[in-house]
Amino acid sequence: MKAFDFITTQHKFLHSVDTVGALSQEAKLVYQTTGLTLLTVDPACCCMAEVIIPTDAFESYSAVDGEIGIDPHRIHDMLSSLGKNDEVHAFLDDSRKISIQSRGLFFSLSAIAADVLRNIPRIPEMSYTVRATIPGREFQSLVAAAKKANKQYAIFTNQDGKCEVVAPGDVVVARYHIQPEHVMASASARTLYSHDYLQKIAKQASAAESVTLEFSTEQPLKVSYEVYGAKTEWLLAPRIEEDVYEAG
Amino acid sequence: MGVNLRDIVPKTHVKLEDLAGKTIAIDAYNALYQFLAIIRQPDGTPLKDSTGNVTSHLSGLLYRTINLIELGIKPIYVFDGTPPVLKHETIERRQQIKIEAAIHLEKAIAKGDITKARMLAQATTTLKDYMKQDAHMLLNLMGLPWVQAPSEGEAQAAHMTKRGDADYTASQDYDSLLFGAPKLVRNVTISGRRKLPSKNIYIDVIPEVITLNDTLKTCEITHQQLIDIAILVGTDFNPDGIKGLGPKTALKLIKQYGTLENALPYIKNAEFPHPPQSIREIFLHPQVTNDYKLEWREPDAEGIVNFLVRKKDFSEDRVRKAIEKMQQGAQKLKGKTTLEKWFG
Repeated sequence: MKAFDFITTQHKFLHSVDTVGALSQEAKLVYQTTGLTLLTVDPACCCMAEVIIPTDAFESYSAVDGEIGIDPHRIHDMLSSLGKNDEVHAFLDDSRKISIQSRGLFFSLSAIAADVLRNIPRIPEMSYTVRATIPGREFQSLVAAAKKANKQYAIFTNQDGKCEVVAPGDVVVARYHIQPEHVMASASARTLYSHDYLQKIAKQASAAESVTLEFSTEQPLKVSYEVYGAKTEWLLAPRIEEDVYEAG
Repeated sequence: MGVNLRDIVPKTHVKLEDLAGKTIAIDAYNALYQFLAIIRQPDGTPLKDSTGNVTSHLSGLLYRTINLIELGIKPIYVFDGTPPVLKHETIERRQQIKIEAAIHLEKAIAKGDITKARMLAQATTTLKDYMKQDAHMLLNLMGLPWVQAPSEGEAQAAHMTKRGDADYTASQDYDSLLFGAPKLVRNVTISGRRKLPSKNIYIDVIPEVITLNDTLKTCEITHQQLIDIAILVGTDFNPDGIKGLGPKTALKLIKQYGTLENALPYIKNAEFPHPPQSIREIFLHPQVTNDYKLEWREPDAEGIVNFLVRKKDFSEDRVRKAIEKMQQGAQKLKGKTTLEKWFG
């Protein structure tokens, strides 16, 4: 009996694996009859990612409920040797080995037992005061531009009816203004987030048509989008605003 | 030296980067001894300033600590206080070894045997009072917290880790586990490529994490039983242990008989310099303090340059580059929070 057995294409699978691989060498893979969920948190516990792939995002899918640990970097290495549109058949058998087959190639790697996996929780439910939507590519561009002005952080702010991402540098200040029609806000908010993580998130989110950003003052930033039928959410811890340059 | 539990302790290799954002209570004497032993010229002579005072410890403390800060790790150095009375024999024995090594070192130098001289020079390593004062001075200038332990530094570091003031205790010795450190990380200050003494072989020294819970779970023992195993093998308070008894056999005996006292009738030549209960007490109830303040401040760049370059003859260019790295690392850490409080 296979714990899970699915067929998908290389680029779809790789995208999900790379999302959790951007944060850690260790991720949890939850397989259920409704689909697969990949989740991880980075070792410093500053950022987490959760990718939910429903059954209809696969060419074929079957599973019984369970969970295992995976090393996304190893799976990335295996998938990288395949072509973008190659069909990938993956399954987990009784020997606790994940098998990946494609074009006559056969890979097998040991799964990490769930009980030795470090604690990787689900993304907690939270309420946010600001919700804004922007195109995925624009999110990547704005983060890249913001990092040029300030290497450490960007400020996500919604004040006086203006929703912006601001990166105040010593010499340059970069700003990205989100159009009001794409913003829903119940209160003002202003929070700093680290570029180290924003860059990782933006790189993966660039494939999405639109990206939803949710934040509140000194609360985590939630970034959510859909790529290839998989729903991805990131949660990034805020930086405490202390001794930092006040954006004018 | 510490207790030898290597063969029974499960460890996970990690990258230093994996410890980003974590606070690490570092056994300062352990780290300074490592710096003094490793940072030497090819013939084994330590780095010295123009007055002849050794500066290897400062070199290690500056550059190795900055490597950690650059990665977003928050170090706390914990210094030894007065050693427990039961440790006197170990201390005397170590001094004797150093005296003997110094005699052999002179002979090796006279013969021009550089390899042997380097090895023996490492064995003569002594941490002098001025070196401790230097270390305090440099840490103050670097804006890093250091804590004076009332007794054993690793006991204090373990205590701070138990209290949640640090995420890990860093030491080369497994004794930290005996003192109850929930998480021990080894090779933090000496990770990287290192030449093996007396051999022309280089090895990669990789940080390894040892969790007390995992150790107890894997060995199927309690913390007190782990201490009993250590006493059988030999600790700083009974350095000889029981001749011919290694950690694996000790583990087997303690699992079979439950306690050291119960196992003793089945062990030949079981002799201890002090009653085992008094050794056990040091690990179970070490002398520690809650009187410390942890504060990470901006480094005093000019103060560091003045101390290391003007007084200790370090290269100004290298020191300034290191300070720059440290400032960038400190900037990364500033205001950083984790998601833990939102996990519920």
